[in-house]
Amino acid sequence: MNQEYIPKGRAKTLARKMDKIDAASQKPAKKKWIQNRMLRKMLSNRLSVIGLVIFLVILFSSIFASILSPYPPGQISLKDTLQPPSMKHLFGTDRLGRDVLSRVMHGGQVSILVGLGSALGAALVGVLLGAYFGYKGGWMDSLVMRISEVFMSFPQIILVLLLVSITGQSLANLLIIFILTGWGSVYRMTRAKMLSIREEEYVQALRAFGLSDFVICFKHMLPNAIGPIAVNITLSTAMFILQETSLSFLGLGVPVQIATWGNIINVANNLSILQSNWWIWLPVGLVISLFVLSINFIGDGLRDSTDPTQMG
Amino acid sequence: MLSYTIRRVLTLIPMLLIISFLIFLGMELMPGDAVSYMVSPEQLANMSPEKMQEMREALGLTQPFLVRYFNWLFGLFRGDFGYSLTNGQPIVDILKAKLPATFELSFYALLISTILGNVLGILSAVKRGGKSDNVLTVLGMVGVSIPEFFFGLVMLLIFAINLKWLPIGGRTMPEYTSYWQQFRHVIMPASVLGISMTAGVMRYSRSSMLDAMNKDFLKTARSKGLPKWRIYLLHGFRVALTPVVVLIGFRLPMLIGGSVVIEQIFQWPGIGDAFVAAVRGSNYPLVMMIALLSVTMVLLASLLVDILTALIDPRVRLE
Amino acid sequence: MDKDIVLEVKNLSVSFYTDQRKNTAIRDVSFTARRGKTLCVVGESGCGKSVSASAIMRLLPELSRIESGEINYYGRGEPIRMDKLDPDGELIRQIRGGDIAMIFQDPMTALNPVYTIGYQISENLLEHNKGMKKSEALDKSVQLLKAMGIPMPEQRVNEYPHQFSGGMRQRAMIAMAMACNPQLLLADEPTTALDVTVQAQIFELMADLKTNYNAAVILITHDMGVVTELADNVSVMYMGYVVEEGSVDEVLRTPAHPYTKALLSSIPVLGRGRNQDLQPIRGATPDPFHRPPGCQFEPRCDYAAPQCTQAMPEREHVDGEHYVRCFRYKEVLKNE
Repeated sequence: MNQEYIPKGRAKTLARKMDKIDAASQKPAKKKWIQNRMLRKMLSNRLSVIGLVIFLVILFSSIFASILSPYPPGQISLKDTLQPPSMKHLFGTDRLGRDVLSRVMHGGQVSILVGLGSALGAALVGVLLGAYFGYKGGWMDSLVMRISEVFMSFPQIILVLLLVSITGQSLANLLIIFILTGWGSVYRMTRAKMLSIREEEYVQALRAFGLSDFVICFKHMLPNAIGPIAVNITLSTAMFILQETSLSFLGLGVPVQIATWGNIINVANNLSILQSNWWIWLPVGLVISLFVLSINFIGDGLRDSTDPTQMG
Repeated sequence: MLSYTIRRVLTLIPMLLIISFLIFLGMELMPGDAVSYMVSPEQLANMSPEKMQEMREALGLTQPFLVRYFNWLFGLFRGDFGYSLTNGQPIVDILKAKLPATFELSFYALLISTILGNVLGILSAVKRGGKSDNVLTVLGMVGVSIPEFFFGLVMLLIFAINLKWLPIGGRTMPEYTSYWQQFRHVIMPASVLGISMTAGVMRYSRSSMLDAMNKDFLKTARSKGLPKWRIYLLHGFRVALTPVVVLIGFRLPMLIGGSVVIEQIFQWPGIGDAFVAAVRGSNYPLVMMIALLSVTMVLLASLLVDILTALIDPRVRLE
Repeated sequence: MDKDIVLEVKNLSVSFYTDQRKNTAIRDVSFTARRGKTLCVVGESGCGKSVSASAIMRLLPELSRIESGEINYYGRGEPIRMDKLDPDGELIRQIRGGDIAMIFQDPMTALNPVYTIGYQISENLLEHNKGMKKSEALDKSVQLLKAMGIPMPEQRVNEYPHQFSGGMRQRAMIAMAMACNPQLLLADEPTTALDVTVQAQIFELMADLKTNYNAAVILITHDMGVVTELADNVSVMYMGYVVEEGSVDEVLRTPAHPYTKALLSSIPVLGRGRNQDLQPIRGATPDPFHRPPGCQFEPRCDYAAPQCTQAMPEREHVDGEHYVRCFRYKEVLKNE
């Protein structure tokens, strides 16, 4: 009846974890090389480090595409059409004989610009409105809140396409549309954060000192919300890149003449290319996925490291 | 419960009014004569300018803006959605023809993502910190990072083009006699849409399950000597269910958004497909109507979710 | 062997492993629960009293474990080494809820909000009485609620926890615990979350249970007043150690540990008038990760001597059932 219980499976894993902590607690504490707790936490998160590396590699090969890429992106060579990958063309060539690798590198510039630009723009609008009206309250606050509700009750891609159909396709239009449809979530988050900070005593004290609303709001309160805002910017960059590629894939995003990741993969709409010329669309699809994944890894690490409820 | 429902419906109305007003404003500002999408094109073709003016007056187009808005709004309730610019079909008919396909696709996608997402999410929560949890978390992040269209293309290449197990696209064929034959068409688009939504559901159900597992009453359940499955499913998941239901509502916008892309890839003759075609062809009335329809569906879904939440959670019901 | 002993805890140590650190929350703890008697475990919050209860039920959270010691359960004839059981196994599940039942601190959160009270009591009955029908279980639930003094039990059995007041919820919680006539009732601060008037009612109920069901009760509390009312035996805990134990008379009349003494002089006694000299204990409980090297109470102790900084004193016999962990207990007793 009283058999010794031997932990199995999950219990065993946990037991091992406890043994490890036990062993570590016997030894004196190691000196911490990196003093910043947030940075240390982020670097101890293996996935976010991997993410950061992938992100930087893709980012730099796009930024310096004109130096690094083997061919000019638009160079048409009709005798080299639809070449499979070779030493000459690492990713092969497309229907017009353009080097796919060079196009992917240059395409990254526009796609990343759209993603990052829209995310920053949306964050700027959202944070400014959310911080100020969240602090001030009043009818303007309710009005802006209502407007954001209107925007957010649309499925995002429907609203984006609706606006695209009204404004027509162009890079600038797309950026504006993304900012217009994307500020709502940052706004709500910032506002909620400000509402909770507003009740804290130090804000009451600042107000008693007679500081101006602007100074209290942007100098003293906003920095407390910076962590979640940073996470939001990261994650919405990923989202906007996905949206840009989806729209361009549908042929409704950035005008087709401009090489973007979405526009490159657009040709896979053609069944024969999909079937027999995989090198035109598969690598760029992988690059998009990898890039977005790396941003998501970074965002996740950022979220964990800015979360003060987790000790470490 | 009834008063709760009524209160909830009442908050919905101003929102719908605002949005429909904006949509109407959008249509008014669009190029082209309003008559052109309120009258079928055949009629329009053999119409003299005088007749046109008469028509305008008859249709109330000379009336003040607000009056026109309300006329239009009441028209919507009577099913008068206007006409498509490209082929003159009444928009109601287009919607009637396309909606069933989108509903079919959405139904299966919702089913797949709900089942898969919750099962994996619970598994992840129960094994939190373990190897399977880590693998599932990374897989989930991979899932949200792959663009739906790319995932769809890869599936298309593998299962339709290379293996030839499933049809390349479309929804049905004239020669089909049973739903089963038609069902083969929906498998791939629904799986792609469903799987790409699974990651979100999984993440959500994991965290709400973890939340429930930290509750005191779960310890009570354990102190009663209940078996593990009972503790996790009847006590943990049952409480975690409320946020999961909420998520079904949140997924509706994703579903509509996703179907826009997926329907393109698999040539699925649904609303998303019609919407993209309308945007491409600058068919404004159809674009606006589909947008209005999707907003209405999203708002109604959130209403439904609130009511469902109240049904599941007795605390909300009695407030 | 004393036939009245239901549960015996011997030299139990439990550690928590959170945030990459090890915290041994209870150390070398021993106590005994006897049929028809109430053992009160007293101490400040964080002293390890609730952990002891979770350890007995084998309900410790993940990343915590019993490091050493024994938990012996005698309620089933031959002794069962509870500390050696699989915490998810068949036997421990039979014992939980069936042989040993537990009442939690906060009845607001300890009952599942989405099930009726009747469902939650029946669940316990059905789990431990194979072959019982659902309708029988519900009838039994009504009887239990009635026995716990809940008015209109037929109606209330179908209500949800949030429709109950705090006191009623704790009664329902006790009904649930008593459903299978447990040999041992573990009550973890059962009245802390309740109003003072309701507290008295719950204690009255628990005193009745002890005699009517002839169960052993372990009552965990931080309230010395509760101890004087209900206890037969007392264990005083401080920083994970049982610093003093004995019968209620021994401990309360002749406290041998400075901590017990300080605790007793920090609470008002009814009938001693308004001019009582109440003395709070000076200092604060140390951080569990920065413990004093010797006796845990030494930094706050009025009797502290140089040897107290060297090591935690061993358990010493005073007389009768009275034990203490103090180097200078004789001086403490004399000062009385």
